[in-house]
This record gives sequence, C-alpha cells and structure tokens, in this order.
Amino acid sequence: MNNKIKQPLKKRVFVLFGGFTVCLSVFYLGVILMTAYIVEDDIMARLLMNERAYITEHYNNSGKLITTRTDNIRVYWQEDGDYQELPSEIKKIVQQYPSSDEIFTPNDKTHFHLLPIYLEENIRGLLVGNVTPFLVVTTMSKKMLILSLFLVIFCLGLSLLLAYRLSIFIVAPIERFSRELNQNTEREEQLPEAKIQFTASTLDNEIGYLSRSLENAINRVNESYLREYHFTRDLGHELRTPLTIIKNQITLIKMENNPITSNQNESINLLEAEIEKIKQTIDVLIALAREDSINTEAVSLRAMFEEVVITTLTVYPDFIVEMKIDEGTKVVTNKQLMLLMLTNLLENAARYSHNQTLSVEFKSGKLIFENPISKETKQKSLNTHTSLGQGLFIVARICEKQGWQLSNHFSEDYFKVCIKGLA
Amino acid sequence: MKILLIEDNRTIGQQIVTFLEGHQWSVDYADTGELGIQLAIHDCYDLILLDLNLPDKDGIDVCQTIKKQAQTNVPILMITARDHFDDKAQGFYAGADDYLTKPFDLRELVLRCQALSRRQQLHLDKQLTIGELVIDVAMHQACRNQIELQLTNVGFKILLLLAQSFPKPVPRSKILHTVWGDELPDSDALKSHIYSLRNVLDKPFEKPMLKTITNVGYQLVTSNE
Repeated sequence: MNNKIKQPLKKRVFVLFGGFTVCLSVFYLGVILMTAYIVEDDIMARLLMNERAYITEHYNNSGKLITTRTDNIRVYWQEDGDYQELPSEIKKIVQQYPSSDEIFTPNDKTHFHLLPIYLEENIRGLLVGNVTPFLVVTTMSKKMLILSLFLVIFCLGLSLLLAYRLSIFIVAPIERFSRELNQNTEREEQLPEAKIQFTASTLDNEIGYLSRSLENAINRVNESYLREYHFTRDLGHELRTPLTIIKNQITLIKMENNPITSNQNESINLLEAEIEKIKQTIDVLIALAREDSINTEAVSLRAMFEEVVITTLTVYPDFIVEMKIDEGTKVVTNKQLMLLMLTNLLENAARYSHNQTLSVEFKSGKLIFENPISKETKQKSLNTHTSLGQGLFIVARICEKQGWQLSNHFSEDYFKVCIKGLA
Repeated sequence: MKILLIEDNRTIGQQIVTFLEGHQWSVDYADTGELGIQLAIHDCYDLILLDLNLPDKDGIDVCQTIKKQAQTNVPILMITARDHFDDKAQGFYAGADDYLTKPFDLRELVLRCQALSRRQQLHLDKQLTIGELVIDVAMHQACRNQIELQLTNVGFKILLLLAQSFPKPVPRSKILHTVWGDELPDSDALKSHIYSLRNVLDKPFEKPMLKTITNVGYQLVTSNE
C-alpha cells in the first residue's frame, strides 16, 4: 500500500489558516486607513464650515466682511467674477474643476480643502484651507505601515500556531487511526484472533464515531472470515477422513494377491474413479468458498503444468502429455485454483483418454486440451453426464471464478476443452 | 526403514501400517500425541508420520516437542485433512519437513517417505546413493560403479537435483530455476547439458540411469527398474 499522501490535511490546514489570516489582516488594515482618512477629511471640512459660519454670521450682524480666525484658512472674495488674489496654481485647478472641494498643488503637493461662501448676489468667496500641517494620517503612514506589518506578522504567527494546534487536534487521531488500520490490514495473511480496538474510538467526536463504525465493520468481517475458516477446515476434515479410508482400502485390496474377477476389478476401478471425483469436488468447492481464493498473482504456466504432470505420473505412470507452452508464459490467476483445475483436467484425461495421451497448447490467451477417447467413453459421457461431465462442472466453476470462458467439443475420436481469456 | 506413525484414526493407521509393512518397512503406531512423543523420544526412527488432529494434543505441539526432545533430528511428514495455507505454514514453522493432504495415494506416501529419508541421509553423511550411483556432495564428486564421473559444474547440479528427488521426476522448469535462477538460458542450453550428462553418466555403462519424461522433465532410474 502506498502511504505517501500528496495533499496532507496538516499542510492544507496551515495554508488555509495562514492565507485567511493574511487576507483578513490586509482587509482590516485597509478599513482602518480608510476610516482614518475619512475622519481626517471630515475634521478639515468642519473647520472650514465653522469659519464660513463665523464670517456669514458677522456679515449678517454688521454688514462687514472679515477675515478668518486662523492663518491656515483664508477667504478669497470674487471681484468681477474672478478670484484675483487666489494663488495662480490653486486658481488654475479651481477653474479646471470648479466643483472640487479638495485639491493638491502639482509642484509641492500641498493639500487644500475648498469651501465656497455665498453672502449676497454679488458677494461670493472661496474658503481655502491649507490642511497639509494637519494631515496626521498621511504623515504617520510610515509608522502606521510598520505597526500594521507587525500586527499582520503577529496575527499570522498566532494563526499558524493555532493552525498547528488545530491540525494536531484533528489530524493526529486520524494519523494514529490510519496507522492502526494499516497494521491490521498488513496482518491479513494471518488469521484474525482478538477483536480490533482503535485508540481513536474512545474520542467523543466525528473521528471517534468513524473509527467505532470501522471497528465494528472490520470485526464483523473478521468474525465471518474466522467462521468460514473453521467451517471449511471442519468440513474438509470430516469429509476427507472417510474418503482416505475408502481410498486406502481400495489400494490395499488391489495389493492383495487374491485373484479377483473382471467384474470385481471393474467395480474397484469404478469406486476409485468416483472417490477421485468426490475428492476433486471437495477440494475445489472448499477452495472456492475460501476468502483467499480471490487473491491472484502471475504464475509460470509451464512450471505449474510440469508439476501437475509429474504428480499425475505418480498414479498414472504411462500417461503421455504433449505440451506446447512457451517457457516464459505467465498467467494471472489464483495459484491454488489453477493447480486444482489443471490437476482435475489432467487426471480426467489420464483416466478416460484413449491410449492415456493428452496434448496441451497455449496460444493467444487460449489453453487447449485435446485427448483421444474411445467410442465407449464418449457414449458413456454423453449418456450419463458423469465422468468427463462431472470433471468439467468443477473446471467450469473455477473458470467462472477466474473470469475465463470454458468450451468443450466432442469429435469422432477426440475430446477437446478450450479455456479462453487467460492473461 | 523404521517409521513411527502417529494417527488417531485407527482404521487409517492400520491401513498405512499394512501398506508400509508391505514395502518391508518397520512401523510403530501411536494413536495419541502423548504416546507418539514418548515413542519418538525414547526410540530412534528414520521418519515420523504425524496426523494433526489428535485427541489429546494438537499435532503442531507434538511436532514441536518431538523436534526439541528427540535424540536425533528425525524428519516429520505431516498427514492431515487440513489443506489451508495457514495450516501448512504452521506445520512447517513447527518443524515439519513435508506435508501431505488427505485423502492421499498410499503410493505417493511411500515416495515422499523415500525422498525424506534420503534427504535425511544426505544431511547426515553428505553422500547420496542411488543404485550404482554415489554422489559425494561435500567433495562435489559423483561415481557410478566406482568410476568417477567427469561432470561439469552445471552437470553436477542437475545430477544432484535429480538424485535428491529420486524416484520422482523433476520438471524442466525446476531444473532451469535451480541451476540458472531467474536468468533463464535459451531452451537448447538445458538439452545440451542433459546430452553432456548422459554422455558421462550413461554412455560408458550398460543401462541408462537418466530418463526423459517427454515434454515434462527428467528422472533418475536404477538399473533394476
């Protein structure tokens, strides 16, 4: 199992928290600066309005025009439709943007606030306040920037620390839980013994809930695996022991020197053949029932075949196999099921083929078995659905499990079995 | 050969004893694990046949006890109806030398007994004797009828492998993997080595010992077969 995680949760929590903190800090810094500028502008505007109210009130009371009370705010009166005393650089901008209430001189970047004053039809003026000396926010911008940066870094550090603690809190139980789960799956070759209990299952949160759910699921799977293991073991033992006795007894009867009639000999051979079929059936059905029958691996077809032929030769020493399987041919299969299938096919061929010969060929993913049969065997197989038919039922079950297609064909003198889809 | 059979099923026990005694072997029989251990510890056997399902003790424990306490390192062949990989693995970890699943063919049982006994003999005196052929593993030499065979290194490896498996044939694939490992030679290399081996092992003598199992492998046979 590949344990390398490309997008670890810990890293994502860090990036998310860090990014969020930086964005939030920059946003609030912007809001603070904007507010400061607005407040500053508002104060300046109020100072001008205050002066305008003072001049207007004095004019209304005395009918005289007076000057402002502060040096930074000056009033310029219009004469013949023109502010003649207004400094030229301000005048130029005012003429260009008559409705503007705030200007910056292009040369020395002095900041002025403007407020028109209207006393009578022909008495109009312009209050011009040089607010540059009062620009607290602008002059303090450097200090503000340093302070802000310090605050951003502080917040970032604090958030990363929190992110680290949070990731430990969230990710550590998940990591521990994954480790325990891996340890459990790595032990899959062995039989499960005790009930699994994850450390994380004691947690009273979502991770605890998840681990308790998985714990229950795994324990149920393990219990059913154990049940299957004990069932197949007990079944195998109970069925195989009487078979062993019958099989051994037949061998001993054949060993004895007492003469037997041809009918008795035929009965013994029939018994032997039937026992062999029961043995094959038990082996295959138990193997198919086992959980580990789903495991596959690449195996050398030729090597496996040679092993099976040699085992078959122990019982059928005159059996001849012609094999056309390349040395490097590999098939992906369950080894146990493949062995049982080959044993089944070879033993059937050894028992029923005429002259005890079999040819086997592997070509383009197809495994082809062909053996000569006598007319008598063919007729018996077709009539009773026993012997070859029984053997092929088991082979068919194995092929089905492995995802292969099985077909068979009787010709005049030959019986052919073809298995397609081996890769 | 002196064999101890530990098997709780008396019918099977009786059948095995009868069959093995028919091969002129002496067989002691124990129907419980405890009796089997006592016999194995106090007597000397060439081979022990051990069933795993015993009434008083688990066969695996019996195997471990015998391997620990017996006077000699006697080979143990497990005979059992358990055919699951875990059972076989447990058996081998407990010290079993071979494993045979019920129902077995009594003829196969005899072949396995012979092979195990020969392996044990080889372990003890580093020499293998098969009819006229004597292989000295330690000296890397082989003689037939007291005449030393001039074998190549590969030829000796093939002959030793065939002798260790005698009388069972050895598949071609097994020879290829044992001699050359994973770097298999072309298909004619084995044929030419077998040809050379035959020239040395069989040609100078009256009867051949190296038999070809067509398309499958090779086998050693003795002159009286």
